[in-house]
Amino acid sequence: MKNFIFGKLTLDAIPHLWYTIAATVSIIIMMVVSVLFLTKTKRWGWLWHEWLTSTDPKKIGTMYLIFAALMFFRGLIDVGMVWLQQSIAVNSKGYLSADHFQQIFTAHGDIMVFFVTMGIFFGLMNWIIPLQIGARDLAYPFVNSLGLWLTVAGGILINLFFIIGGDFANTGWLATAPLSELEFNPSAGVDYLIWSLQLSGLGSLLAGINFIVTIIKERAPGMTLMKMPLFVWTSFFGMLLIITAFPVLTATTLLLWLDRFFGMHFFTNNFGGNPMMYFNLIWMWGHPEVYILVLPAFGMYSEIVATFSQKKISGYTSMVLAGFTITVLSYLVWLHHFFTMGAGPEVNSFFGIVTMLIAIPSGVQVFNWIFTMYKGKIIFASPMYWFIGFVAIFMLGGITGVFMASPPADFQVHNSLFLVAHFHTMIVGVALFGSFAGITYWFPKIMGFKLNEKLGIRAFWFWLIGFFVSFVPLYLLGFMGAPRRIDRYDASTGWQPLYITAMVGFVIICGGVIIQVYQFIVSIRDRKQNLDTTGDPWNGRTLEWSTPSPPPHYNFAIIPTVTSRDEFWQMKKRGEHPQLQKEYKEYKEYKDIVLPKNTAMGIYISGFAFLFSFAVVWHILWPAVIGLIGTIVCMIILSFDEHREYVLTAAEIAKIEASRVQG
Amino acid sequence: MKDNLNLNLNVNVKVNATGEVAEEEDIKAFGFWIYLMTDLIIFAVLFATFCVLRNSTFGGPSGRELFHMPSVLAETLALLISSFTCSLAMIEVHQQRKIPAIAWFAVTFILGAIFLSLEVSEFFELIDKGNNWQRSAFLSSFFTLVATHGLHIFIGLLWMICAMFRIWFRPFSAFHISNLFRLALFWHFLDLVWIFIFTVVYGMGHLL
Amino acid sequence: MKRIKSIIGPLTIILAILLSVLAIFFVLKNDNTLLIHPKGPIAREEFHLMITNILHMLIIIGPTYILLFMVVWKYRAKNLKAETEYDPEKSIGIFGQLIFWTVPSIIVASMAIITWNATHELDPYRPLKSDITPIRIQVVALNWKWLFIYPQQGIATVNFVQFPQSTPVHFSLAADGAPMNSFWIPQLAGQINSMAGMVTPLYVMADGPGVYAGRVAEINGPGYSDMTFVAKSTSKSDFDSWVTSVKQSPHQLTDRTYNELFTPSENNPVTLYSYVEKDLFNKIVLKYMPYMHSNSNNNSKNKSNNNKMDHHHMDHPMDHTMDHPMNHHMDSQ
Repeated sequence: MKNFIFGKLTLDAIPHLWYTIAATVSIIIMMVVSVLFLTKTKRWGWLWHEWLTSTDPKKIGTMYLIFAALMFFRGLIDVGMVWLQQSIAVNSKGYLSADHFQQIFTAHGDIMVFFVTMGIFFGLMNWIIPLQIGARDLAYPFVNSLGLWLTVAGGILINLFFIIGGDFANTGWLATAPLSELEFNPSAGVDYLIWSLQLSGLGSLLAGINFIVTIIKERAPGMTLMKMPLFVWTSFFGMLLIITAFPVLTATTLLLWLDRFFGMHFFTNNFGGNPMMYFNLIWMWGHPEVYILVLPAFGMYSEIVATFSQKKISGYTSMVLAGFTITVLSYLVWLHHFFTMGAGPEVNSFFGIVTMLIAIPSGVQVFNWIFTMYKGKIIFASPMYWFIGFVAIFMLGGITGVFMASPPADFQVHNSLFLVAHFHTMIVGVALFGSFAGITYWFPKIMGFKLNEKLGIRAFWFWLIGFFVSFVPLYLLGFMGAPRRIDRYDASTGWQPLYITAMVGFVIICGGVIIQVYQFIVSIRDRKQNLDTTGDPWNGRTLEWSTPSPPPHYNFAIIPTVTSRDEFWQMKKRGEHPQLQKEYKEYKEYKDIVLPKNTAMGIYISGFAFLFSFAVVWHILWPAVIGLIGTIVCMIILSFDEHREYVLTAAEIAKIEASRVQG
Repeated sequence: MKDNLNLNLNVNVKVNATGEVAEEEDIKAFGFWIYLMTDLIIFAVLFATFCVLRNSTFGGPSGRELFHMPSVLAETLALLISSFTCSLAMIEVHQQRKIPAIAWFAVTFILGAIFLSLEVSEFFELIDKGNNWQRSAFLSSFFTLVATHGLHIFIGLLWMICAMFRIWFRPFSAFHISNLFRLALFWHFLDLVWIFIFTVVYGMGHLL
Repeated sequence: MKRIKSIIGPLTIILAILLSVLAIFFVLKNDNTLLIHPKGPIAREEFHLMITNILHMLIIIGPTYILLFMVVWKYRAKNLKAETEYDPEKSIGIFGQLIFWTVPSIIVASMAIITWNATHELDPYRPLKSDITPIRIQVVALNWKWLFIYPQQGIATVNFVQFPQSTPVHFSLAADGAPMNSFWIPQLAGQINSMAGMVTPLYVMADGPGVYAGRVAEINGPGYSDMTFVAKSTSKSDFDSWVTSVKQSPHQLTDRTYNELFTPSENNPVTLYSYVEKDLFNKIVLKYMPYMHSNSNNNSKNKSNNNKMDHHHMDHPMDHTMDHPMNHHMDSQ
């Protein structure tokens, strides 16, 4: 009976380690405070109707960004704990046990990749892609909401182990078999990881399908594919990678779970299982994932460098081709993540050479970015700082990447801190810097006022210096033969000074983060001074800047007809800035607009899916059944609902538009 | 696909003021195609694992000793015919005839249920003899691949029940027809996957 | 005064960069920087390959860095001199794009040839060229220690391995009861994974006498950090006398003592075994072989099509015959 109600859950599962207790207490305090705040200010209804159930991509985008920011702080605390351990654990155990230490860096990896970086990109894409292609909405507003809430459910599940279980996977972020098998890992930690990835992976997959259909089907009249802004292109490539790679992740982690739950033998050492197959499968997803993280950032940089050089992007076609080449090549390189597994030299060198081929389109992009600035008038706004920092770091990453692409050299640096430094160079220097650049760049569009420039630039310097102080020592440690993921080491290795230097770099980066937080506070406080009244604060080039800031919920009162690349730039040249035209007020040609209604189904389905996942983690039957049936019933109810849209009449639009122009 | 759908939607379908309905249902079909492609990739992974582990019997029985071809052939036949009757149902749907449409869907449903029950009984037979998924990696991958397909069939059957209800109680709207169109697409897709399973798992398992 | 102030900023930056470069230089020069101080031909070749790759990349990335900062500096909006050059419609045309694509392609092509050759030359499966017959050492990754078996000498060691200098050492790597592991002696050769039920070879050679750090490099559980060992190369005669001394050891590696060793433990002390059961290594590898566990009659039928067996699991006797036991089951994809 006890087994039936609680499954594998026992009293041991309540937090009893100092760090899970601390996290649990802080989570509870945060929840109580936010509940009190919402009740006191009577905001529950507002939160539910205006935000949580919204199908407006702009609001969903904002929610993605807030969620990613919250997860970012969780990931950052993890880094601090890892560095502290490695700085002090010389000839001793440090302050964490090996098991805790391994759990922390595993969580760090998963959170930063799945929830922070992808969260930020989905947030910005939700905001910007419809605006850039002249659409009012995504193709499937409900699916968009569902994708968000599944991702959030995954995020909650990955943090839930603090409160229930106290154990996370200690396998590294990919849960590589056979270490993640029951034989070596009987606790529920790996199951938390698997189901968290299942939920968020499904969310990403849905978002991927949604964006692909949106970009293909919902473009404004006249916007042919080759007139799309580059951010739309690279996001499109990223989404192509998502829809082809994420099913592999879903299937692979599901197989791992079958091994663990039903005692199957896909990746076990024994009974004919094949652990090497796990490496192959997980990296068939994992390598495209790297490009899912960087391709949208490439697009953002292309937008930013063109805007702030006040010039059109150099070699547009070439840039699209380069993006496409990277997309295709990224499927063909997965084996370079495990050259050391003993494949023959033919196989190894094939994958090594294909990996090197990626340097070609990357180089083309760098050249074109530089030549976009050539003969321009470069304005050094803070997004431009992030951009230049990125190019410098990206080339460094290129050099170190070649080490890993060449199999014999990789034998020496694989699994070492050199590798850690290399992929952080790429993820921090490319994806994260890109996120910051993108957020700063589009912030006025999102909020209606600019971020404080001075603090933004200061934050950039902290990040840049912190980056080098943090990761150059890691490269050196790699040369010193320091493997990744160790929680203690011998003093004779001479690694400690470099670990401490890296820790100092982390502190500098934290300084940057604090400045960024302060930047938000200051910018909101002084928003009156930085108000963006024109909707076009940077002298932009693409359609999103033709709308007011922030845009009305229908984005465009009249869908523009596109005639060229950089349509908005051309409009301004022709003197057709829609908002500067006198006739705009009396514009009578508004038509009725069909817009999606709010729906709570996304939340309900995610809630049931969450319940199911949680029950499966702990082997409890009844909530699993409730979760499964609940999900199916929700789907069925939804499929009977034909009235998911409402009509905004032309008169109402005229009223909104008029009030804005007067205001 | 696109033309087909548009053609059918032109018949007696309420289009709202903006004329966006037909287009929207078309977009749904397009998204559903993409979803099917992603599902196909999941199956591809399962096929790949099956092919890798096909001979990893770990001393246990191999496919040739386990598979009972007559029952597999019966399953295949049931599914193939159900795909055909599903098409017949869709023809009736496009002509907006409720009763025949429901009747053909009912036949499809029964055939699907026969398929599923045959499959489940095959599973039970294997498990009874001690050849369950814990026996060897080969059996793990066999059960996973075939059961994943079975799970899809089960979802398809649930969907079909809903569809029959909807045909009975609701008029044929564009929204409604496109839903049925996607159901048919899903069903044909599962049929196609089964043909691969039949070839790779049973056929190759039997011959090679 | 103002002028001095304007100089101080850039000066500190330059000073800081110089100091960091100096610091990096000293770190690299330090003997602790194992990869840069290789002690055997394989590690040396691998290090040279890294240098070659860096130089190749610098050919293109060096000028690009300079170009980047020149362009950024010259075309800043504040530079009124460059304003006349401002051309908002300027884009590099098809000819320029061709150059953008070809220049990196040439570099990559050259690196591809080098990679192809180096990968074949430094293939861990490839025996080293030497007149001296290689010494064979079988390595088993256990939770969480390394077992070294000397089949020719009939001795075994834990967390310590000794071999004669200037002699090719042929390691055969496997694992038992441990997940995926990686065997790494940075100063002698790059790492190779050691896995259960599978044998992966690695050839190394030490130039002279020395002591080298070795360790596991793939995370494999709580004992991961301490799963280190010491590798020692000595002269032939020293090695022989060491073998004789090991033969005096009271410890013997039999089925029973192996099972004791097999139980997970961390931070194992160095242990020397004067006797090791014959074929222990093969037994360990075959533990994970499907057909060894067959107790049903029908098994004989599938033996013929058991590719696992055909290709690599049985490769222990033949892994020095240059037959690549390519253990990738995924080829069929």
